[in-house]
Amino acid sequence: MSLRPSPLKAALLAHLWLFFLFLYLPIAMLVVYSFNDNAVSMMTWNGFTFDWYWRVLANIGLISPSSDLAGSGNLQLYSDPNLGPAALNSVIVALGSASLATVIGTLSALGLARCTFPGKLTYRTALYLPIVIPDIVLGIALLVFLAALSFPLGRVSVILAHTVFLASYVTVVVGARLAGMNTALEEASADLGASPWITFWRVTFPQLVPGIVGGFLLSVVISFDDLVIAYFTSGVGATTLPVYLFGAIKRNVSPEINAISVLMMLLSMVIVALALWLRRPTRA
Amino acid sequence: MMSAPPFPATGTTPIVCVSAASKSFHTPDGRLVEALKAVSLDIPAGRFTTLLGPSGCGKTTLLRLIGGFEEPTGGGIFIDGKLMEGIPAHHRPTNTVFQHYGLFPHLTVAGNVAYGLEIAKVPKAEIRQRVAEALEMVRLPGMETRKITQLSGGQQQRVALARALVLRPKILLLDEPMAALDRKLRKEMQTELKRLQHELGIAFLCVTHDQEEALSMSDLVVVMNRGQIEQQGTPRQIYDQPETEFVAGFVGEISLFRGRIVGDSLQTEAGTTLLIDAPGLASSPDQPVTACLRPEKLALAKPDSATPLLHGTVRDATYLGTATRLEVSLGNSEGGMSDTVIATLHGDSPAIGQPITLTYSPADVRLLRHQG
Amino acid sequence: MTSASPPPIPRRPLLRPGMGKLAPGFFLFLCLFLAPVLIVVVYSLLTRGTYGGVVWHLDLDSYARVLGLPNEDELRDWDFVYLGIFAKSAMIAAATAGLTLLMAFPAAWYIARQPDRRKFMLLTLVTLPFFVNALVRVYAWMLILRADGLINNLLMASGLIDQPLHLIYTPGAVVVAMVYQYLPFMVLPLFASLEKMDLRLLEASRDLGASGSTTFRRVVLPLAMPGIVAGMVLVFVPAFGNFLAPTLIGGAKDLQLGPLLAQAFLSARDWPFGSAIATLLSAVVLLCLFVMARSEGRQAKEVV
Repeated sequence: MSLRPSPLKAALLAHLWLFFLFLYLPIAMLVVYSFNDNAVSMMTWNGFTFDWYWRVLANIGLISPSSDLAGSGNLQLYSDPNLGPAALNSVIVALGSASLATVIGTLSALGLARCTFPGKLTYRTALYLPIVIPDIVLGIALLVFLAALSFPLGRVSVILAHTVFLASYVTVVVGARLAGMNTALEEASADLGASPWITFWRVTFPQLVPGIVGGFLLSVVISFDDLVIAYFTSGVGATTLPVYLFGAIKRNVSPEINAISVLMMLLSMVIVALALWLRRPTRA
Repeated sequence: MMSAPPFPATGTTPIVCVSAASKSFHTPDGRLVEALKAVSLDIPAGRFTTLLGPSGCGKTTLLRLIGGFEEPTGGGIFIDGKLMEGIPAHHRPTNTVFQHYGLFPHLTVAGNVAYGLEIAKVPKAEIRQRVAEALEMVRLPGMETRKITQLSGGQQQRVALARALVLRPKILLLDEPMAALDRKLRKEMQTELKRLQHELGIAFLCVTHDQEEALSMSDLVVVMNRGQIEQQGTPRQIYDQPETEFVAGFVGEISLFRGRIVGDSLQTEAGTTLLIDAPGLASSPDQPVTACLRPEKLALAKPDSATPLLHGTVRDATYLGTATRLEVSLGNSEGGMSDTVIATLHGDSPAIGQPITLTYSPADVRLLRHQG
Repeated sequence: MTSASPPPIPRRPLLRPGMGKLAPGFFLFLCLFLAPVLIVVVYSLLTRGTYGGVVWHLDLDSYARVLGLPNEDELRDWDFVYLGIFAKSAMIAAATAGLTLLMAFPAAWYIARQPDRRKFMLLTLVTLPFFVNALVRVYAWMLILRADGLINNLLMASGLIDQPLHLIYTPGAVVVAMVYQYLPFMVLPLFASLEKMDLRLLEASRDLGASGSTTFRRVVLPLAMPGIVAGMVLVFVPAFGNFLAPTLIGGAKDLQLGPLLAQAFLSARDWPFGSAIATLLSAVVLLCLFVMARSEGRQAKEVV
């Protein structure tokens, strides 16, 4: 396909392997050492165990603390009642903000694609801002804003905060899908007698569904994984899982941290793989 | 700007009446574009009409105004006597075959053809029957369950036709229907479309830039340029009796002569004298005029010819199989200007660089309306 | 214009049908993005309240403090510590961007030359780690670089060293962690640029006698420039304001903007001061974005 000489090609390939090694080794290492049976020195290998995972599941409440699986030793010592509520908060916030963002973002994408108005380009560019600015600036701005309004910090504040930038993500994803669509289809539908409402549901929406679902799933993952914005806008009562994990890492309490990290990672990867698979380039 | 209607008033009202329709819009960088400038046109019922012109002339815009995909910025469109202002596309008694067909990829052939019927809430049994009839009509029987992506270009176009015609519109709009087809298919489809139109008796309004297509398919040709109608008439009228320079040059090849009337002929600045047979010529002496002559109206002069002559030198010769196309420079070849004449001759003709004498009949010379 | 006066063109109404769809997004943007950002800017001009929060008293002192200017009332002398923090954050972010570029470029080049199916798969593989929690990814590097982390354990166990290396809590560690975080951000724009590149231009350059490195310098680099600039900005901007990596893996004495901001708002509760820093940070970010937009615009005009 190209006329590059072989040594260069071999070098590029070697670089690619190293590149992927660099990308995946830390993650792989974390997964491996999450099974390390060493309560004192996390990174010194001492044998294989599922202990940490069982404890995490017990702490969340998915298995009973007194069951055999979690039996090896000092379970009560490591029990943390905050893990379960944090996980629950994350799920609620993720589903809530992703749903809101998908609806709002899809509407925005449709509006931008179909209308022209003065300042459209500026508005479209402005919608990128929530994604591109450092999350800490957004987190701080929202904290200040909510405090100025005396709005209580809790789950709702985090949901609102996440919705702001997730909506921009969805607008981009759905917008890309819309741009690839044939506008003649909507005109054809109108020509054949369908009102704009019917045209949307029978022609536009079926074409958009993979983009919308993909945008939703991506939003769920991004919300679930967010630390910085939740850190500033969650207040005391609505700690999300990443905020909890952040605290736990700073205190370096237990190897359960590794199990929690790996479980979070697994969840994110599965959802993302699903979303990307839905968005794969289809035959036009 | 309108010429006299080509059809004698038989009492049939035109199916579409365009009344001083204008369309302007702003480009993204703020310029104002006038796509249509107060165009008036009557489109006859039951006939094949074609809007012919180069890209940007406004023909597609006019089609879209009739179809309801855009609203005119001035004037009005009447379909079957009713003013269409404010009536969107999905309420108009028109159906369109789009340039790239606009078939729904997520529906089958039957799904596409039945779409409009389903929207109109036609009972299922009737839908099935009408879809089958429509597919028969476009010569695609039994293709109901095929997916759109499996069809060839020609087949897709037929499905688009079936989808539009199954709804029995008052007028069928076609936007450059042949543009995406290869040459052989194009010829076939031209005959097909003409046949369909005859069979159904519905008015067809076709938009094209291909003058050959327009002349072969249409009952009425409307030539457009820069947002206005240059001329309308039967194909023969458009070809044999062009009224403006643009029409003369756009449809087929032509030789143009610009000059002044002297007696009963036209004198060009380069010194060519063209005998003209037109009444009332003497009444406008010394006025600037433009005349034109079709290439096939010129012939090689015989030695004792009594018809008017043009002397010149052959500058270019192209063998076309059926004839030879010559470009001839008239008058003296050295110094100053000379007029060029295009002639298609059958049989032998002089080679490039050789002198040549052509002859013509003054009756074939057309005076054109002089552009401002 | 023609000689006859054209028909008057009706003014297009500002609100057209279908614009209602934009309303929810617009209000969301206005209320939860624009308004908060504006409030921060306003707060940066106010005075700190005794118990946190703000007092409505216009005062440029916050900016003065950030810029290091002295203030007699507050008994403050010239002190460029905050400007130093800005500079340090910028340098670390720039190093991150540069290192990311060097690592991503050959990879993007290779991927761009693959057949379509492979391309998509490879790109997915590159992007997947991005969706792993940033916290988890920085944590993984903590486990690698700690005194009792992977690297030190391996080195000690193999006898190469007998004292653990001080790898963590250094600027270098922060750069590595951020490179790890932002690598996909560099690969994607680079890939987009390189994919569009016409290989025949490279052949033409070789044909005209240019060596490999000259071709690279004079043909590849200029053509890939939009991707390079986009990638650099997309890495520099978040790296500049990064909170996680400096907090967990950076040293306490090398304070960076992210942790500084968190401190100002959450522990020191000096909101005007924090707002001033946030405003300046945003200004730098907007400047970078502007530069990127200009470069893209210029490239678009220079059609080959």
